[in-house]
Amino acid sequence: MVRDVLLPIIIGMVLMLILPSVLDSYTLTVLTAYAMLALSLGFIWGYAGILCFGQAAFFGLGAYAYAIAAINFGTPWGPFFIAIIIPAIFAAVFGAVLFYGRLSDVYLAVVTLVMTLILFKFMNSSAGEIYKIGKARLGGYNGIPGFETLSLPWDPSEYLYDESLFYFAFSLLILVYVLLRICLQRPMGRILVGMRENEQRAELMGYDIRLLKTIAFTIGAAIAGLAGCLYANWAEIVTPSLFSLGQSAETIIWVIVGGAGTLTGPILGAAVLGFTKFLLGQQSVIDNTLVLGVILILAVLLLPRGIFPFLVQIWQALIRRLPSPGGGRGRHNQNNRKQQPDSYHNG
Amino acid sequence: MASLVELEANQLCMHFGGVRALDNVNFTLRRQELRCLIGPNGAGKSTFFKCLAGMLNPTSGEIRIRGQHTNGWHPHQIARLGIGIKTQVPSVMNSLSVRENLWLAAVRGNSTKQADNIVAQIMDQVSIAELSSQSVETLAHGKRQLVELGIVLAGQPWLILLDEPAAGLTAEEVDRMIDVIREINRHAALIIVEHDMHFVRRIAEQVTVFNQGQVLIDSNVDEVMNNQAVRDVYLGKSL
Repeated sequence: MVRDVLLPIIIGMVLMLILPSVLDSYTLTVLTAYAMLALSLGFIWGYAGILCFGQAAFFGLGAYAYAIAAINFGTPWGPFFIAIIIPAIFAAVFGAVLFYGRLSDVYLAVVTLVMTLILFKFMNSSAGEIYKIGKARLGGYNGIPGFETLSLPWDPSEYLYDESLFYFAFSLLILVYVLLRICLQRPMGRILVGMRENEQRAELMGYDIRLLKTIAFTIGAAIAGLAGCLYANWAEIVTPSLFSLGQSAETIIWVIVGGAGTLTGPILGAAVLGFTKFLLGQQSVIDNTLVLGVILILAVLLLPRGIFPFLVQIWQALIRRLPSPGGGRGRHNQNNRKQQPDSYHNG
Repeated sequence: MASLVELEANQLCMHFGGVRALDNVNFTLRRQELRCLIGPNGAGKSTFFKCLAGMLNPTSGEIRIRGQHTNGWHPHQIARLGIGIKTQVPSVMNSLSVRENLWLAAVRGNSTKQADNIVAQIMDQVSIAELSSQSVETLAHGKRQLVELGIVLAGQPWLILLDEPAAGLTAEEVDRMIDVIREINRHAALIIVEHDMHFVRRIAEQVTVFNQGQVLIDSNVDEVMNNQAVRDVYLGKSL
């Protein structure tokens, strides 16, 4: 409990307090939204074994749902929850069709990719007068600007922006991380990992893997929708590029580079690569997608398990070198670690 | 005696295109019976096994398990009836520990505390307690077979389907497997698909012989072993 709940909360809060003195909170907020998106894919891919090539679709849906609802309602907190619920409902229906239809992994990846491309194309071609939901025009390529952003519930004139938006977003990231950690320690989460390891055996144990996958997919979409909502509040505009192939591909790269099969890895991957992209965006000598591609290739070749598992390995090696209280070099620690299923314990 | 029938297959057919893997198979299993299915390669044993387990949907005919018509059911629905299935190639969750594998099977329908108790008991029964924390992917084939048997038992089934449980085991491991199967049979019925005739002779009372998708003979083990038609089938002679 301490390791899974208190430790992440303490580390997260320390980071939340330190980071604004290192980086500007404007950049930190968008990195937090990216980290939330990466966490959503890290959960469904790393733990439930569902490779979704279209996680950006739920990110975009969350952002658009927030913007459209905020324009129609004129208040931010109802839309905040709508931004989580709409992608979740969409994923539950779409996921049920895919998983109850017994679509195999490769086809699932292709179908989810196509889903995000359809949304991208549709949003791009929604510039006309007829494309509006209530008072909100979809705006085509230009997207939707000028919607109400988050403010204090007890004082609507006090908007959450800059540092306060970062603190809010980062607190949500800590909350979602801890909830996922708890979920993964509970039977439901452990069954998801078992299903990832061997679907046939999970079925022969009596688990309905179609239902389990649909639930995991829905949870992932809700988190991606929350990320989209945070992004919309940061950018104060939503555009079809949220649904782009580039956004989906980047999310997968964040997870791979950070470390699939962990929760911390995708967050780290999104933060590191997102920040690198920001730095590269400030120069015009070299195309930043090229650099990201090289980073991905190097990461796959040199750190096939990702940055975070590599850091954990180094940390464990350092601890092993420390003399244990019993006088040895702590080899018992090494044995214990070998006995643990890493998917549950390396965070 | 009809009330003691736990599983029935009537006129069961399974066709793959023009190939009749099962052709009008009739089969009955009674409470706590131990039945071995034997036959040469391609006889239809594994297809029959997969139809019972819900891994294949029969082309025609019916399967009744404790009176329920289970044609077209998914494997998880069959498993929830209280049927444990061990596949030909050990189907285990590789990167998880032995204990975790058993626990996932035990926790369905039970509290976590009950699952812990079931796992402790099954690990002793199958003699894998010392492997508890080891990752299954690091185990040798024989141990993986035992782990899979443990997974099946952790679901506390009343009927167990075992597909070639002795395949690839050492003589010592086969002895252990036989002890475990006999112990299981005190509480549960078993259908065992097996090639190893020595193994079959040591455990079976009733044997069903498959050949070319049909039941060739269904009788006690001595009669089956002395049957000329069975010998011809195994030696590859025409009947």
